[in-house]
Amino acid sequence: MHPATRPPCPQKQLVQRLASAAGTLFFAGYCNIAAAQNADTAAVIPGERLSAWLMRQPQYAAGHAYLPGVLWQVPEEVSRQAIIKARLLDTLGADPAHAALAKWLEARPVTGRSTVAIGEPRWLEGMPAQDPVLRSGQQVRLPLRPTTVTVVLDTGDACQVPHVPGESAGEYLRACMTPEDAAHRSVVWIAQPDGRQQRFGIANWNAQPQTPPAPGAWIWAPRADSGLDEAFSADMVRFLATQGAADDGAGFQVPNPLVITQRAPQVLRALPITSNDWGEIGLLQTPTARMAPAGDIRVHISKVSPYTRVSVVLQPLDWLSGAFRYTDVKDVPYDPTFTISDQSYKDKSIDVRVRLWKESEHLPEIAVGIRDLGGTGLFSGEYVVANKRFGNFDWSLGLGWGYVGARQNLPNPLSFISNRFDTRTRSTTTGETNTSNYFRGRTSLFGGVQWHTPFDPLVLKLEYDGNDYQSEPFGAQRQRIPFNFGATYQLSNAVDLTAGFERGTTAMLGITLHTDLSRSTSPKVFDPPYPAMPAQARQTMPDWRAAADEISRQTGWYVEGIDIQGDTLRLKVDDASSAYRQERIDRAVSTLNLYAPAGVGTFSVDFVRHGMALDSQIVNRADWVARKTTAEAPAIRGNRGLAYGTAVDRLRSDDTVPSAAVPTADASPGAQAPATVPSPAPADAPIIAPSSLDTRWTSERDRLRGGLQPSFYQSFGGPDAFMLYQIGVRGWAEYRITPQTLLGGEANLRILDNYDKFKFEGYSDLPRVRTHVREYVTNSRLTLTNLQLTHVEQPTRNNFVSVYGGLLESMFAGVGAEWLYRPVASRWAVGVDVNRVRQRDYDQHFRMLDYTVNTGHVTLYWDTGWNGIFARVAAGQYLAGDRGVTVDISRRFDNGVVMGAWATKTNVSAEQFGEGSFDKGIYLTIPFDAMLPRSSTVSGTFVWQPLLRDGGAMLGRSQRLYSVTSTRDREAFQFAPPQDKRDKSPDTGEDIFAPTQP
Amino acid sequence: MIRRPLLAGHKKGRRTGCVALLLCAAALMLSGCTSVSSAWMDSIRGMWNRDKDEIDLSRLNPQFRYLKIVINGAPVVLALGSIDSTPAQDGQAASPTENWYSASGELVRIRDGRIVATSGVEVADWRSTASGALPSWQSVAAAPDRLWFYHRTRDVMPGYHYGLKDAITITPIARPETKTPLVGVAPEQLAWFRETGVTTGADDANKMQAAIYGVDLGRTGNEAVVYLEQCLSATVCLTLQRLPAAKNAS
Repeated sequence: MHPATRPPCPQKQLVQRLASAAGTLFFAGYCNIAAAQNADTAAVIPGERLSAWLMRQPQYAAGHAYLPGVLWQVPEEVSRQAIIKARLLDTLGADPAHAALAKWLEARPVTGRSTVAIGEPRWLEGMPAQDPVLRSGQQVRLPLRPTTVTVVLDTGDACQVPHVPGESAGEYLRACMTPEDAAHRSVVWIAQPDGRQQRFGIANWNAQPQTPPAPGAWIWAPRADSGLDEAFSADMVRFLATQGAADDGAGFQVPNPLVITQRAPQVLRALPITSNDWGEIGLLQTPTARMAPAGDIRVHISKVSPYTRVSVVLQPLDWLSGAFRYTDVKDVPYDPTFTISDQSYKDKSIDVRVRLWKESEHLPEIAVGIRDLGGTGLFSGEYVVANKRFGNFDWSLGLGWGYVGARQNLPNPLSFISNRFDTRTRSTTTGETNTSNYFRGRTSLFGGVQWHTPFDPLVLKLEYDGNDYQSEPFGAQRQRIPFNFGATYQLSNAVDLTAGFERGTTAMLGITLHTDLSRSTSPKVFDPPYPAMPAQARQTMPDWRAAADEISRQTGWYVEGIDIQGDTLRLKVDDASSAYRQERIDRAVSTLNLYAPAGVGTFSVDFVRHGMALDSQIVNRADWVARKTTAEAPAIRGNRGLAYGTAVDRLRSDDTVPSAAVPTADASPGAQAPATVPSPAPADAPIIAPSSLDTRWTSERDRLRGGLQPSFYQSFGGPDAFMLYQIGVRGWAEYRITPQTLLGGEANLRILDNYDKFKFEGYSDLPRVRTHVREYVTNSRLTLTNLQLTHVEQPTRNNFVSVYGGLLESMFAGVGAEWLYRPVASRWAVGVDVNRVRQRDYDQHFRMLDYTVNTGHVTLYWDTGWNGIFARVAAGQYLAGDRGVTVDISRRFDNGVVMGAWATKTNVSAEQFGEGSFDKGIYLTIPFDAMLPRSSTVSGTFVWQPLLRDGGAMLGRSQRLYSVTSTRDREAFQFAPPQDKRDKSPDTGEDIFAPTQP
Repeated sequence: MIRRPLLAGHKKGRRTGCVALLLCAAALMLSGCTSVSSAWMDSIRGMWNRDKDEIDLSRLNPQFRYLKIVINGAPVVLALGSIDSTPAQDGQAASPTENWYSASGELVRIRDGRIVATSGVEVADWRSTASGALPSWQSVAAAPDRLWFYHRTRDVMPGYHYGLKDAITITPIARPETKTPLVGVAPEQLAWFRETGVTTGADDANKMQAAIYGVDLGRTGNEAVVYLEQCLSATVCLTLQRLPAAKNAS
């Protein structure tokens, strides 16, 4: 073993065993920082920029510096890194087999490294927010370029292999050990010289594409049987990342086999995840246990006579997917009488799949799924399937029930539980949820293999089909052989084409469009440029109207007012729907910093809606300016004095939210001191009077808001036509009588449509509260969809009340009231609404029909905090007078995309409800921030409801208090464009200085 | 100055724009019962006009030096921030390295008319390069039949593609095969060269692409690269020309 380049601290062991004591940790850090000094560490001059330090180093001037390896050492970072080291040593100390590794690790210094975005000093000069101002006690090391990559072995040795461009980590690993030993390692961790950390699978069963290690990178890959778990390895690579680039000579050197053999580096590939004929992940007719990554959405169209299937598959969680599908059956009429339309039969279905077990080295991946959950049942089936990958081959084997196992050549293994599993009733066309049929009846095996060919885009598939097509809902199909085969060509990252030959008789063609919505983002190239950062604050009063206009332009928010209280400038904004509030706050503060006079030390961005105080974000001006003009280590930077903290920070700062609605022009009795200590104003800043609230600008005169927009409505899968649509113009207006009382309305002019095909009048055993939809949409081209007077109150800080009356939605008018209890950033909220409504006439003007009803619900809102899951449960009386419960579960991704589903069960029987048995649907919400190159406060929502029935129908109110108060959402300030989660900086795994807008 | 990151105009950026356009249509579909914001219209307008942007030379400050970079028809202006004196090394003579900055803070470092490094370019960042001895353009022009050859190593991000080795051949050519967006200089006033090469250690995205140089061999007694076509990756290609700011500014 090569001796460590840096001597260990004599007291290190004792100190690290006492790592929980902060004072001791500081001592440990001091000791280790001193130990980390060496010849390429020149003294820093307190106050100088890192860029200046770098440029005065001779190795930079000579062009020999290795800039990714810049080691910026900050004493304040030492304690956190010492804890990581102590944790590692504790784990290793528990097993004598790891004594050598513990000894090696013990010799490594705790450096206090903090990452630098890009080490090029000329770039840092142009990006002051990324260029640290060096402080007393900090050190910087600028290494020369290493020629090796260092593998840390579990024997406590460091093995150094000459770097080869493009060579993957697994190759370096194999250079340092026997092939047998290397085969026992399935995951490799890389600490790149710039501090970013990566994790990749390298074994036959989990290989994935990977970025190569750079010269000076550290590699850690413990044996699977080492007893060191993923958490240890994550800590290990975090600690290695704090070491900076691994110098040549830091371990024993071995030759690089690639250099000797002159062969090209091995390229590892990901397992192709492709759709089967049903849109789900699978082979052709059969499903596999594989899952797409969470956030994936795929639209699949396949044609295999006599069926054409259009499926939309959503993957809200890594282990859960759902789908809805239309199946067109050729030569079977939707309406046998041909009075409504002559289109072919369309079957609607919903699927769900759950992964039960994730693949490991020795065990397969296992999933269970149900097709046509609660549909007609014509194609319903269930399955359990397992998959195991061997390099480029992925094998699957499953057991199918119903349509999936229609060959029925095996008895049901569940029969040993009960003989009720022996029989399966025939499907109906009522759309009932036949839970009594799940996993019932005889079964069949199915399975197959996919081969990822050396031609990277091509995947070949072969399967044994569990269906013999003799029990098809509209007549048996001929099957010559039970095997299907085909090929999928991955045309791009978003498009797959599939062709196959099935049943030995029939060709199949399919196309899949897919993308990961959780990664959806778009550079905002059409946003206005950030306001300039002034060299110093202005000494005169600005044009506040211009400031308000610029804030609106920058953020898309309505500015309600600008007040000054003491040295705090309060900006009141109306925002109910933005997705990416962090970015907008930053732009608002940038504008305020440009306009605000020198005496202002604190900015308070107060979120109000209809005069109700919802939340406040306090920004210390000096801290904000410092953050924009210099980089700081995470331990120093924190969130102190800055806006958009965590939900916990917001809970702590709840006191800063004014306790009651405050008209802009009034004094603010609820306004409280900011959470942070504002910077003292300069002595020569007399502009701000140290008195009470001073209104500088108010939007009181701007009481009327409104606009015209294009409108588009569509519905799919009805008996009239596959798609019914209308295109038109929608106008909306809102007049604020007082800040808390508003008159709002919305009208739609239908210009273009295909409603001449809309003939189906529907039927129902319940009051026709929704099924007269044809009459409502076809009766008049100009419709008044909403016109209501609303008054809101905030009697206490966390209680909100509204009363309203008018044309509440397109089909109902009336009066109602709502109460909501919702603390800032709370996981819980509860609301009650009561309404007395009357059905509107079909023209959607002012006339009414005879039907009246009381409707209302008690609603519980719960942000579970688990995997972004949000739940809403509402219980009460619905429009048809039925009583029951609605459960709505959704997954919210970090970029604001929401995938959700709801179901309503009321005291209406399945027979009374009609096809579908109960109300249910799937929805997808995408903030336009995630998809447009221009920021937008609007989100688009797609709702798929298989059938619109009268049971379980809720009043479609506008101005719901939960939406109005959305700024109080626990995650309201967390949604942002996605980051690459594979790359992490040292220490915290989160605090990394990434390039930001100037 | 046009405040747009270099990324905004490159091929992938354009594809992103097309995808965004499709997504806009999807957004309209998705919006169903919600409103279509002004951002939607701004995005359509912006994409419609993105290639029509022209640089208003009169707005450039004659006290600064500018570089015009065109990526798929979209121009971006860079300003010269500083010049470093680079000592002789690795067989190369001492010569200055120019540091050019975009409004978004991206850095392009140019030495002897060649891009030697970039920083902050999101999709293809040549963090550093190192070359052996380079022949002068005049010597290449004087002996066009000779094989002019040099080696270069590149460190490219993202993806830690470090130490890529380019074996580069320089060939004089009569004129670029495609139309160049040259401003203020006739192509025939320049001597033209093409650099082609083979890269080892790179994936397809980072293999060296051909580069075209338009060189003024006689300007003020020294050769100077006036125009450059260069690909930073398979999808990020740009043209580059120094702007005659002093001449056009008023």
